[in-house]
Amino acid sequence: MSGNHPPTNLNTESYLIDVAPAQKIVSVLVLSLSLAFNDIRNTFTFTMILFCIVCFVYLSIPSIKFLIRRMYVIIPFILFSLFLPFISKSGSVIYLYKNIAIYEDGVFEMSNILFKSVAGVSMAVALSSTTSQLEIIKGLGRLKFPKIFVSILSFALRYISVYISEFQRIRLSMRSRGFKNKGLSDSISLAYAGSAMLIRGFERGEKVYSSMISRGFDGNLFVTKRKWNQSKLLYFLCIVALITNIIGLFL
Amino acid sequence: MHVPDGFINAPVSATAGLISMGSLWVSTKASNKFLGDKFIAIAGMMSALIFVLQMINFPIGAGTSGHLLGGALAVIILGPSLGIICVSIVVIIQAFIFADGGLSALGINILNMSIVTGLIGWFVIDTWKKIFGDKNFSLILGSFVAGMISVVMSSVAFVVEYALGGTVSVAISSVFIAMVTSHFLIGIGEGVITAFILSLLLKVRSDLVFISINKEAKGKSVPLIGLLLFLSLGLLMIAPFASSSPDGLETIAQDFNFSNQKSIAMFLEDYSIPLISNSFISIILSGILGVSILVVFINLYLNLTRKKS
Repeated sequence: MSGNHPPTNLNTESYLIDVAPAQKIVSVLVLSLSLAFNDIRNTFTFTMILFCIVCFVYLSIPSIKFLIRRMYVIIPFILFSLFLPFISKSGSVIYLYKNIAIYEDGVFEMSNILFKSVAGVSMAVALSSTTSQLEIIKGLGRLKFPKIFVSILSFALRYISVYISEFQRIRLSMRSRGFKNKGLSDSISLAYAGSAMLIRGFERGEKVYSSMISRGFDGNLFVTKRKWNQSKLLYFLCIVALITNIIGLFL
Repeated sequence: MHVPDGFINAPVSATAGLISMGSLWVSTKASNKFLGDKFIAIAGMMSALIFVLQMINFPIGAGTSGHLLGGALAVIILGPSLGIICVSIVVIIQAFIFADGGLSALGINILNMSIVTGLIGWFVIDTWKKIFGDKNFSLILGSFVAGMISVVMSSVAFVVEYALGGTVSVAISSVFIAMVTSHFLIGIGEGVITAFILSLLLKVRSDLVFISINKEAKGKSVPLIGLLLFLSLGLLMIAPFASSSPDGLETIAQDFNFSNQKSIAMFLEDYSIPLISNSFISIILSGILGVSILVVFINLYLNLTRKKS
């Protein structure tokens, strides 16, 4: 019932592996926000910020294959954006073949969604490939997130693995009894599975919490200390992104 | 439902981020009294459970599938403040660690999936409890309704954000119809799952369910905000169907030529606000204004009558 601890597939050879998690979180936020605030029509500023992001991602991920494999969540959005040039009908026509016309605005919208979503996902993948989940929470704590927030977050992360292993067990037994997820009528079975999971988890969690209290838990979850570096390169990338953003406002 | 980066433009994302940061701050302050209680561990488990339930997609026909949002469930079991924090934590974990939903769209995702569902779910279950009593069966039925309505309203909230700052030029009406119909079906699934989880919990461990422990509602502000949100988003669902042709009295007035006798120029003439050119938004804003004026008057009236008796 314990559940496996989350797998630590960190890229230990990365340059950013020893950099403080708080700094990595801040720089990811800065980079993705400055990308979001930039218009794709300002080609210069947009490519500058994309370059910063590519640097960050290149420094963190082990291989391109790893990045592409983790990107499956945005596949529906990518497919949707590929249809956009044919759907949206505004702006001037840039390509015409018989009845099919491609409009300028549609192409811009497509590339906007494509670039921004791919960059956002790859930055999240990059962050999680150099920083373990507990370290991300630690970094959020360093950034003065409220204590209640951080402690719920850490409990949640610990219990996700418990629940996933529990759910796999339940699903196996459901499947061995001939369960197939066909439609809305099957959500009742899913609901029973979920509530069984919830109750098992509640009882387990109460036990864990009382044992933590009896060992002197006072709300601080992190005992082990580790020395972190500050990366000058990350500072540089963030500052470049911010300056480009300010320039982009006046262009 | 997870909005990726670049789908909604930057000002709207930033505003949504500010709104969700503010409401998370408020709910953190409100739930600080639970700190050190076993509620923290349970909240952690609840968000882990919602995370796992969100990974399971159930098919809703026509090639699409939906997943649970879990806002109503969290709010029913943990109370409004802690429940909202719980679902927001799920969204944050998904964004930072599992790369689901964009980082710059984090505010929008938190607003849609935890704050709107949480507030509206709490409002529905709270009013349901007041009207139909707190027997187990009525709570279970209420949780079904709360789950369903919260999901539909969350999709309406997404349509509002899209109307304000969508970067794609697909017509609002088609987005509206697609989102609301699909989320109506998802909402039925969510309602069933919420009701069943709640029914089992009430049977086995009813001491853990906030809505059944908490006999008397203390704060009035959360249901009130929920009511306002519910009414404004509900108005949005009706607004596209509102006909612009004159109603019965107005047609008669036009036929007999006395419609042009204006006495006083009103502020909200023909349900539209001056200075705002977009008719869709101005109709909605005037609807919200009208509803809030009504709420204020009803409150005043209730206070006056209470003092007399």
